[in-house]
Amino acid sequence: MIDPDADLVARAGQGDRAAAQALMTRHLPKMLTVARRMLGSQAEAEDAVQDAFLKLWTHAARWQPGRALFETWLYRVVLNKCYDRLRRKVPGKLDEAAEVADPAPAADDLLQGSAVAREIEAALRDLPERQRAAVVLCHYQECGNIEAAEILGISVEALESLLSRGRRALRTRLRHLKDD
Amino acid sequence: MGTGHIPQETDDAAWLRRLAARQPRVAVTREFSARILASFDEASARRNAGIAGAFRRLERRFRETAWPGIPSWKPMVALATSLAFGIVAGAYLPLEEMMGDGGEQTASVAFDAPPAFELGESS
Repeated sequence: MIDPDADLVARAGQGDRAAAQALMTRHLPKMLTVARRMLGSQAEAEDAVQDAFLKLWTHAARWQPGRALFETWLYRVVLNKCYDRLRRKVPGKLDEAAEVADPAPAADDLLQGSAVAREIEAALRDLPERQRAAVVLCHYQECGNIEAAEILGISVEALESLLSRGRRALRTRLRHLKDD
Repeated sequence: MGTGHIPQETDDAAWLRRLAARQPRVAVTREFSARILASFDEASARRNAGIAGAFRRLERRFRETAWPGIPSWKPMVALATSLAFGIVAGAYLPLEEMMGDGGEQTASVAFDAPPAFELGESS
């Protein structure tokens, strides 16, 4: 298994700023999307991703290619940072934070389906965290089942079970939405 | 927001894929990218500070000279392997076997045997 990021990680570990920037350009959008869908708040998501990248910069010098793909590892770190934040929050406060601290709704409002988007996001936030992670990885990040299972550290069967329950719950909650 | 119903026959996965496509993309702002890069600079500065940092710089310089372009774990693994090999060899192989070259010469002399050479008695 050849890791396309191995060389960049090694160079970033040696203090190469250009390599760090290349890694960032390659992975930051995906990681931010996962965190945003998990946490429902842009500010929270940015903090979680920043923590994850800080961990990356600290551990890059000791990175050993071959164990897991770098991207899989980074997804795991980001998800763990998200779980930490979700567990630290009182559920009511998380919803509140999502509404108040998020600078993105202004941009969202420009889009026609912003209300629908927000409703979908709220439904996603109500899923248990593992189901949410499975749905986000497979449906928003377009990870394959094997990759998503590896990221979550579970079997493919367990992932499929999480996905099935997550989809069913979302569909029940959002059944009033038009399917267009 | 629509009021229609999602067709029941639609597969859950396909439905969710379409739903996900309706959500706006999450944008990475320039400020956020700058924050992440600044955290790299901070981490690098912290790593290079103090005695440990000086040692790391020295190690990096040595590695770049002796084994350029190789991640630090490779020379460490090579060193650890050779060290382990040396310790195992030292512990389990008998010293004489290690020191011997396999071609030792042995001379056996029977002290009570008559000499096998002549001293010119006949002359």
